Amino acid sequence: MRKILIFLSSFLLIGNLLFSQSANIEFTEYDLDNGLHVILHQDNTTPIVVISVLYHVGSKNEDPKRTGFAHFFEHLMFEGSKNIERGQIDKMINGAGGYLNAFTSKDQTYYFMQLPSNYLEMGLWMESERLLHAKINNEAVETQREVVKEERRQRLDNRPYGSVLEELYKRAYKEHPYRWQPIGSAQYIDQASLEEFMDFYKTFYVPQNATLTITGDIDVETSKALISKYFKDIPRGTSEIPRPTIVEPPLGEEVRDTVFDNIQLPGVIMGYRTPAQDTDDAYALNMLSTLLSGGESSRLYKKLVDEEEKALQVFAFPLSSEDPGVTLMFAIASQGTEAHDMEASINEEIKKVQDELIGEKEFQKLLNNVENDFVSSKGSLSGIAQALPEFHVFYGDANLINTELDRYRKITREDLQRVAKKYLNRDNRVVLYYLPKKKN
Amino acid sequence: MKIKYSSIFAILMFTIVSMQAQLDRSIKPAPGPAPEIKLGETQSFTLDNGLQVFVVENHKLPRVSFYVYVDNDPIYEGENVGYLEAFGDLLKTGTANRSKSEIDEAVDFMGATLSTFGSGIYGASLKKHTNNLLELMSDILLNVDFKQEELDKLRKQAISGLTLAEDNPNAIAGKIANALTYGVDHPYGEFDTKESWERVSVTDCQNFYQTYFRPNKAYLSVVGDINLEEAKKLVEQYFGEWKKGEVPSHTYDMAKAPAQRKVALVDRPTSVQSVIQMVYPIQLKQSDEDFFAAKVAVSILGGGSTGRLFSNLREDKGYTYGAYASIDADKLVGEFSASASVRNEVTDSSIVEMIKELEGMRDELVTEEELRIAKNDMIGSFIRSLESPQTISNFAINIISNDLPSDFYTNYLKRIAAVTMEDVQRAAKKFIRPDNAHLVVVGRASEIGEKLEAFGKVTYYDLNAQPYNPNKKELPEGLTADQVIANYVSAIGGENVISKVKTITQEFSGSFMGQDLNLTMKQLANKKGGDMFLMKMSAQGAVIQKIVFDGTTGKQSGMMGEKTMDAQESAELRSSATIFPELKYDDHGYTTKLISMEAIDGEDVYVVEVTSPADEVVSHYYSAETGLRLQTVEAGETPTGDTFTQKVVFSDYKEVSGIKFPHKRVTTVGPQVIDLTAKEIVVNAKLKKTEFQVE
Repeated sequence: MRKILIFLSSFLLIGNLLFSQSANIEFTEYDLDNGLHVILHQDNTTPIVVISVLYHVGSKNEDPKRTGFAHFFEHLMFEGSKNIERGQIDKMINGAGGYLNAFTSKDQTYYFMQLPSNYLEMGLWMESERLLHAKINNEAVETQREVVKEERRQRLDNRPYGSVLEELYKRAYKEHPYRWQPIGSAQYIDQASLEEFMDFYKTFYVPQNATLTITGDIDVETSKALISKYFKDIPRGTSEIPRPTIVEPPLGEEVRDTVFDNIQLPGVIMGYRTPAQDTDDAYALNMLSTLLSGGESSRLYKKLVDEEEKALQVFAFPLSSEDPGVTLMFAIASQGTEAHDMEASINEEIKKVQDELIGEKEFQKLLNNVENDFVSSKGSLSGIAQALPEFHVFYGDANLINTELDRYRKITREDLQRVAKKYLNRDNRVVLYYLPKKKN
Repeated sequence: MKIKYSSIFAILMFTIVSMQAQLDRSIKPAPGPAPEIKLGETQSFTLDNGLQVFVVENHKLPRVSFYVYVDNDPIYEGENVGYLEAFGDLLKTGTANRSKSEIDEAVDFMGATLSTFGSGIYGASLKKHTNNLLELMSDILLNVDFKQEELDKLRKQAISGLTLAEDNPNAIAGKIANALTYGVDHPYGEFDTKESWERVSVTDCQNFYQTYFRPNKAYLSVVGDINLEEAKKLVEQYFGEWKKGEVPSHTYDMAKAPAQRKVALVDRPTSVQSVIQMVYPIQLKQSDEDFFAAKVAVSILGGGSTGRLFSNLREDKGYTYGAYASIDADKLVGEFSASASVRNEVTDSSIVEMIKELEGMRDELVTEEELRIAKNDMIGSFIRSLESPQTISNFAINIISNDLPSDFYTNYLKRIAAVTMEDVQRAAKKFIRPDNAHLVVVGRASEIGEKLEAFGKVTYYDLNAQPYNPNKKELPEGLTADQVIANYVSAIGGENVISKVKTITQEFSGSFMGQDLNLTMKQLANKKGGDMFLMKMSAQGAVIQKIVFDGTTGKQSGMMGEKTMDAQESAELRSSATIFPELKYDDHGYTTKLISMEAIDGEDVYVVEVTSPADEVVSHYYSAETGLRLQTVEAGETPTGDTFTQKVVFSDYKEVSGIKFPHKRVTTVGPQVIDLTAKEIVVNAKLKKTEFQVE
């Protein structure tokens, strides 16, 4: 028996070694003199390139009286530059056969485009233009104010359960700027002036706060020359980049509330305060979330959806963030189930991971899932273009794209139990019941 | 040597520096030479059971995926709609060898993906789990066991899912749009309901499996870190025993776009945005000559952030977060759609702009710049899709499934490049038809409903795509037409009072199309025959219309000429001539029927239909609160045979000799409105019979 086991494990080891080699993402990284960080990954399989710029600024860098500012600014970055007329950025990229978009989170603003590889230089020129001298006028600001308000309505106000994160975070944090969402408040968007936008631009949209990544059909040396050509002379920002230093004190006790929404099926939302994404405990919590809701054999799914038929959907999800964050649990009731029934079942499962060490086979399942995700995340140039700068900026090591699996492999079954006890306790959580608004 | 070296270095430095100094940022860098586009290779083979297999090797990552696609004609599910979804979901809930939790456990243990649908199975995992994954897929495919308990569970989830969708304005809009575009008797238009789910049975699933789930109708695509030899061996081993069978084919009537634009409104009182969709069916296949021109046209209209809809509604007006259009080719029936979510107060303005943009595509040639951007965008999107190795096997399957020429994808880019501005306009005229669209709006009716009338006839739909009258309410139990009429009689003065009335004279003045208008009506009780009646309408001293009824015969004169009425017309007039005809419906052979309770401007009314012996119907609307008649509605016919609706609204009831008369009458016929106010109403004035003579 033992022999077979040894044989199996060495076989697995060989498999892993082989696999790590074949899946390695090779990349080059360096800084320009002005502080711009550059990451290049060459893959000439398909004649396309992905160019991304990650600016290390998100809603957590906002003034509490100007929430929604970073996201609003993201919209303005599509307006034009000194040498690109208003409305031409999209036309230029689409007209080249490319696609571009952006998103704003609590920690970052991420711009990306995919282009046929012969348009690489044009893409770099465009990104350098809006880093060097984006052009923002009153007309653009006024239009985007309305657009962003519509975005808020579409994503939050007109959508069942759309306000879940907003309602959760404003109770999970009292001081830290994570207490508001990147979409912000319409009222503050209306109040912001053009000068404020320009100040924001000069402070955060500077080379030393940006990471430029190119993946795909490139030649590394040519790319370096082009990057130098367009980005080298962009001046380093002169002001200090403000980062929130607020350390949110522990929740202290459970926060419990009810939100009435335009829904028929009750929802239960739990948010547990959890550590920053770059900690070992965060990795353990990621695995714990998989244990609870990854796949139909996961504990919460199996119990609430399959066996008890209390929930239509249930998931546990670590909302990873640079500063200490939240692990979300979200269940929507099946017809006829009350919120507290679902909560009781979730509580039971959480208690179970706290009280009992998980079995070896189940633990192996988690590792297999982590491994599959690790490989699959490298399946597209866009995914790689996003992962590399995120690992660089938020974890201080772009090469985690190749080694992150090792961080997971260090985690033990005991770690899972420990973090469940440490973080998934009542005093550390917000519980929201989403209930139907009364019809008049 | 040394000198030489440094001088070269210096020259090099100089060129670099000068190149930098000369960087002219105003010049957009030109693209390099266009890269060669290579479509990856697909290898294929067919098993004895007819399963066609396509293999795309891609060794970048140690993953392999398997996709079984059973290519049946679309199935109309009918009464038990939902069973196809049930079939798809139940596929992975049990086999002769495994329970649902064993299947789940096996999938999750590998960290694999396994999805099952009405049209097939998809599985993907790391290469090292390939055998286990295929064993599982094969078990499902060959030994599925549809269990009642799993269906019961699924039914409960499906019903909860429907409830969830009822709260989602986009889901509502999609459902209503499909139902209207294709009709609920079409596979693309039918939808599941709580009731249909109650009927879905295990037998439905078994029958479908036996009849339709056959390898000779299926494709298997194998993509990833695998070679042809490995694939052949595995596929033969795991899918070789799948039994072929005769599969029925189905055809459906072609869905038709409406002859005139129709507005479908779904009232969602809590909405802060209106979800707008302009949709209709089209006849367009991928193999059609027009396919590429149509795609380019719709891309210019609404393909992303450079489309006209986005530029206008978002970037210019700030009405929305996004406005788009799409056109889908399909071997059965295709679809055009233009959509946006906009705040309530700009709903009608947004629709105006959308229609304008759709019309613009038809009326004028697009610009060269627009054409260039749209074509390049499509070309780029094609090239970008090649990054995923699945794309190539999808191409191979599409060619067979949609009867495309074998060089369809190799010529794809060439054919986009060949589209001209004229082609675009020709395709736009054919496929972009704002006048023949269903305009589906999900939003807050109290705020947007009336404004939508401008775009076509507005019909309210409930969440099951059933039209309804939004003003209709539940009638109080036991209420009859007779009671409603009796209430009216007592509200205006009571039978005692009104039955004693001998004459009524009413003088009205008002305006019609900017002209002053006078109306005189006189009625004289006549015991021997019908009551006598005189109506005279004049403007600027000239008589426009005069109607006289002597109790038996009527006569009409005025600008339309003179005409003595025939027996039937005269009989119709008798009731109108009668003083308070409500008291004499039985005598005159009229029947009454209480139809509904509705709301008019927030006031509850009972609707009573009064039918004459000649089957002419007039609807009377009585206030539930006051009993007074608020309006009448009747259908008429013009001399040219067109039908119209005449509505008379009564208000400003004031007492004259103990009887309440409406002192305001507003008559609406189509777009024309005649607004009349009573100058004088007199009861029991002396009137001479000679006034009512028909010469």
